Amino acid sequence: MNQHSGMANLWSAICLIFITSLLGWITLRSVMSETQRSQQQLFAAQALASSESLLETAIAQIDSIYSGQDIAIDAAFWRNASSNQCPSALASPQWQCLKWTASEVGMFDHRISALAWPESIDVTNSFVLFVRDVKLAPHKIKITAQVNLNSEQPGAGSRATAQQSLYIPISAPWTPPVLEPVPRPEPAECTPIEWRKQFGNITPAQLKAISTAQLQNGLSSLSQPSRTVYWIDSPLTWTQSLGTHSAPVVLIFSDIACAHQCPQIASQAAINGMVYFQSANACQNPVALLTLNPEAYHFDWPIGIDASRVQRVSGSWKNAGF
Amino acid sequence: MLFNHLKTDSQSGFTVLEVVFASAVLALGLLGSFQLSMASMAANQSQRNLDIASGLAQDLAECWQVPSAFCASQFQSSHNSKALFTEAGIQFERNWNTTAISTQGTDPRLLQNLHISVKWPSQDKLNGSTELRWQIRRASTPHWVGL
Repeated sequence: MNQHSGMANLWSAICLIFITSLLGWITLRSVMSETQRSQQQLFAAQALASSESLLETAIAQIDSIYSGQDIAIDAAFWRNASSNQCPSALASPQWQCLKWTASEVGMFDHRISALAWPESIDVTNSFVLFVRDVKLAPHKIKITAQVNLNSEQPGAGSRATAQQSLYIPISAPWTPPVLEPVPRPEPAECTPIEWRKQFGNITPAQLKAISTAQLQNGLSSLSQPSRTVYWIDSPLTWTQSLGTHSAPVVLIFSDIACAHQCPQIASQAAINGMVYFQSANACQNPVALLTLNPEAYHFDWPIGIDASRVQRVSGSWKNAGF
Repeated sequence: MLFNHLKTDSQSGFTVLEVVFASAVLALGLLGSFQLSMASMAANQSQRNLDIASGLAQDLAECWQVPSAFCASQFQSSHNSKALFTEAGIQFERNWNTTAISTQGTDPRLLQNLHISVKWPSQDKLNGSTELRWQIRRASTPHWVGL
């Protein structure tokens, strides 16, 4: 009986120690789990800071590209754009998508410098995606930066995405044109139509850039949605019918096309929209064809904004998604 | 009768072996528990310090991006070093410097880099201190420019 009592005491002591140790172990696991959670939160914050850094780098790059340069740089910048690079939700040809990865180095136009990637990121698994709607908002670029932290960082492999939109000076806020009743011109009479009266503050170079962007992205009269801005440098007679009542176009024959004589528009070609001849010779401006419908080049700008420079779209910053 | 009584007492106590063995098990268990507690406390303290350092770095990084008078006053020079104390008596030292990032043909004023380093004493490191590094970039592109 007494021997049994000794064994019982021993077992009790062992059990108490075991329970105490178990509680200690559970406490340690709980602390370690909390530590891990806190560390992962820190890694996520570091990844987000890196994605913001890459986003800011891309914004500075866009600012540098579009500031103080000929707007023709727009075509050079988007030269490698492809619909394959678009997120699945933006598969329509009106979306222009350009993805920059580390392997893109050396593929840029000489006027565009390579991106200065932040040191903390794994460049093989990080990218910057530029997206814009070439039909409805070619002046607004959405930039998405996705990064993975590299192996030199404590949180290697942590991923984050940040995005923001920018206005670029490829168009100007719409100012209604001053429309005066234009009398039918006499055969010997010239009635010049000023560019500014038709297009407001948007310049010929800007409309040409928009036309190039739409062409570059595969928009045409047959695509869905269809192309809306046509800048023509060819002096040949125009034979193609363009535009519909719901989707009017703007067709501009440039001063190159009109160098000797502005092109004729074939009688079978029905143009639904506006035709403008950029010619000093007003007699060649066929006012009769002019139908005012600015939808093709009327883009959404905040009131009072200075559209001549690159700037951020207020409230467009997001830290996830496309 | 006396003999019988003594015999009964000696039988009801612990043997020396039992006591030694039980004490050893108890000591071992307590040592294990103590070490677990110490490890928990050390991990807790280490993570707490990391959280504080991370907070100090992120606070400064956020301030760098906000154009308020208070934040602007903190970045009057391109670098700074400041010792900060916590209530636990641990000294955190925060250093930062800003640099311009320029690639070929770009204006160096367009993109700035802020490098922040927060150091604090640590017993589990050979050099006795731990460092957290934080970097953030900012483009000077404005949000809205009115006419």
